[in-house]
Amino acid sequence: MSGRFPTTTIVLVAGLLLTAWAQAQPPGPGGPPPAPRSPREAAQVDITGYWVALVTEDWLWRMVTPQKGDITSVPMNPNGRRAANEWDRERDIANGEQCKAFGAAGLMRQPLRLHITWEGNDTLRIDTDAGQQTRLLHFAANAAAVAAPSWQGNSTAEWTRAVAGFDMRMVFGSPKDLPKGPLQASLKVNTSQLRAGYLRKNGVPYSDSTQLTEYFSRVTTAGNDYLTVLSIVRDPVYLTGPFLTSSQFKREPDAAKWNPSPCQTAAPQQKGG
Amino acid sequence: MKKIMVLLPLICAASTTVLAQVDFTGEWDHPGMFGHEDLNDRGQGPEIGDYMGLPLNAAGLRKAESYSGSWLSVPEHQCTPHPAAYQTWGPNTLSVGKIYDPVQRVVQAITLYGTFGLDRVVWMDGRERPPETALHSFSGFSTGHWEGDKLVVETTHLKTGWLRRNGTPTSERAKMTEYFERFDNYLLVTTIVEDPVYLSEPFVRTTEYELTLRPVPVLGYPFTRNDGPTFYKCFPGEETTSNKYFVPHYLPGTNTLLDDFATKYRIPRWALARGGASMYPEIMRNIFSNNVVKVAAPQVLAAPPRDNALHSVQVRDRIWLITGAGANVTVQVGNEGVLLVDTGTAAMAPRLLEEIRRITGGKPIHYIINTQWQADHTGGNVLLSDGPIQRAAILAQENVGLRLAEAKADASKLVMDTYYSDSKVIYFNGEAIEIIKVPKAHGDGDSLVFFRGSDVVVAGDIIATNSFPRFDTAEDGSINGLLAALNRILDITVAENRGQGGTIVIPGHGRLYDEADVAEYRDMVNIVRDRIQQAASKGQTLQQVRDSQPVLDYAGIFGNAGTDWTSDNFVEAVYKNVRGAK
Repeated sequence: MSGRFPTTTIVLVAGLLLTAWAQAQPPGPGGPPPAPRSPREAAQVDITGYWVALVTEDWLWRMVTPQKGDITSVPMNPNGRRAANEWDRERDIANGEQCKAFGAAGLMRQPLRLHITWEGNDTLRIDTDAGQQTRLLHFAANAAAVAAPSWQGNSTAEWTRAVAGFDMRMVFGSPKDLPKGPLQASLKVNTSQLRAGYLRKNGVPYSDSTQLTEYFSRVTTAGNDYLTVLSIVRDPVYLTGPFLTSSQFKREPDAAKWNPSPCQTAAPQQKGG
Repeated sequence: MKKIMVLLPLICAASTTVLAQVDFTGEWDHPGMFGHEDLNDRGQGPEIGDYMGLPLNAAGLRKAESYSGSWLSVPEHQCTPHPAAYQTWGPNTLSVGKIYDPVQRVVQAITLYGTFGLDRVVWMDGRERPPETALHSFSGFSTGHWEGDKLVVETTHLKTGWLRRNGTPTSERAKMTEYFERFDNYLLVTTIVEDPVYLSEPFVRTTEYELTLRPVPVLGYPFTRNDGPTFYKCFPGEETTSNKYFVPHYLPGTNTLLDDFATKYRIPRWALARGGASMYPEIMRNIFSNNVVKVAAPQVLAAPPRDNALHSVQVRDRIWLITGAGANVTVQVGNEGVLLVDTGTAAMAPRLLEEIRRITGGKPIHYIINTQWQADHTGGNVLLSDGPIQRAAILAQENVGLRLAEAKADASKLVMDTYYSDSKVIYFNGEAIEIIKVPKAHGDGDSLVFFRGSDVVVAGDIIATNSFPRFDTAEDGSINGLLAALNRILDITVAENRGQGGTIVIPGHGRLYDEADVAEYRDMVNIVRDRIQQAASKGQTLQQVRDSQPVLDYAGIFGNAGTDWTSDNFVEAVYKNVRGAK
């Protein structure tokens, strides 16, 4: 074997290490440090705008109100089943708790529209037309302190990259092998300090100990923008394990179809036949 | 060394991009095995009538409403796998692997193996898509590329499939785009299906998986605990004692299961057939206020453009298909020379001859078989049979010769070797070739040609994949004869695995078919015949039948708008034929 292969390998490894090292370094002393970019400036994907839920999945559990006790495919423990069986829509209305099905852990499964905007440079704001809820996704670490649990809880957000992989083709391959388009990150949101609410309209419960993790992403196909949200609900009180769902939204050009309405849950569709 | 030092900055730059890529390799499972949503798709299957949330247009809804669950008992459909557009939605696990180029050791393809579906290969090496004439499959042809952290997979060449396991269709013109994204140990698959035939707008859905360390039931466990390998290879069994050619379906207005669904969920009957409108939040307001929403009409799809060029595709070792010369031309080439099935038009014959010489290395043409008499099948007979020493023998059913003579075609001046019994058999280039009479079909001179060794059937105009089948009652053709001929083809074909592959069928016009495609085409002819026959039996006029749109769900594929054989022509021919057959 000639000496060329080892030399190539050494240079390659050196290149990769150099890159990694360079990426890890703080700004050098040679000039004024660049101003840190705000989360808004650092956003590699723009999810602001109007979005409408595409209810192509679980229609019979999301569009209509399922019957009491229908916990189909939700990993409920016995406590959760019991609580689901005790749901009383009229009692919720009487107690002014119509928004229990519009809390953060169930909100994105509702048939509704979203309006996502930046509130300043550090906070993404999500408003919904149905239920008229507002979620604030805080990028700044010091914005986490919120006094009392609420329907939308306290959300911290970060731009995140997927798990890194490595493909030698990227080094040895031709330019056509390089990824097309800009690098895209996704948005990871952790939410806690939630008021107890419902995963579904029919009183399938989550407790105030719930932790919600969400990943927001955006894809563009056939001239349409779609927003996808992967939700992971962890509730030690009512669930046997994480509850995973994914929902999709389509971008709308404006607010023409925005239809604000208060929290309301229709009576269950009583099965006939 | 100099070169390498020059490359160093490039390597550094590239490596920041490299890290954008994600490794999906491994075993993935829906959370809790069946997932936490779409249970109806992962369990017993959604109910007939559950079309809610699907952007079906009127054609898609008609096809869905015609669907009978007994469809799965039809021999040719029994082994149908979950098509790619449904696979991740079904009760599946997912095993993701890689295929490396054996020389360059770079990723050539990503493999997606899943329960109940076929093994999918996503080509990452930039290869071109197959030609229009290529076979379609339930998994389609997929290529992939990276957009940042997302693996984007684009799939075409799909067979007729479904969005849900209740007859909600996708067509062979569907295109699918998938995004694979990994978030920590979760995998999100976003599937977007565009289908100009059955959908009014793209269908979007998302499916989530979690990384699993336990062996995933890719081979069927626990669903096929006792018959895993048999299940996956899958050959049809005899599930009923009914006629094996029976095509189960509901005639328009007779599917009472739709009423049952509406009653059960207290949804107005009209709301079941609202297609895309049912995806959006306002559908519930419309339902509660009984505001009937209009469903989208299907697009009028023009016939695919033709480029006036000849295209050749190798079907099997010895068999080629040439398109663009009129009717499809099949070329068999071997040590003994060349055999042609059909010869295209006279005008294209010189160019066709050149193409045949190119493919065969100039070997002599010894045999020509005509599947019927018309000029787009026999126009090249004179030129192509003309050899330096002796003419090629021309074989056909005897009525082909008679019809050519009646038409005073040039080809009628050639001596033909005709047959009048059920079939004729020759042996050429190392394989038996059966010429099989199919009476009263397209006309009175139709033959199928079965290359036994190559396992290829040439169907002639019994099948045109880009139009409804033509038949001419003036020449003793008939809709029932066409159906019988299609069933005869299905008697010959054997699928390789899961209902597809195996015997290849070359139609008179259009792309390559296999058993699953022929069965779908046969089903279409059967269903349309039944609809028109029912209407005619009630005394409906031709105009009334047309108004009932008996080909609504198939016109997007076979309607061939703008040509001389449209949906209207076909409906009229069937109507007159079934009226005359009373």
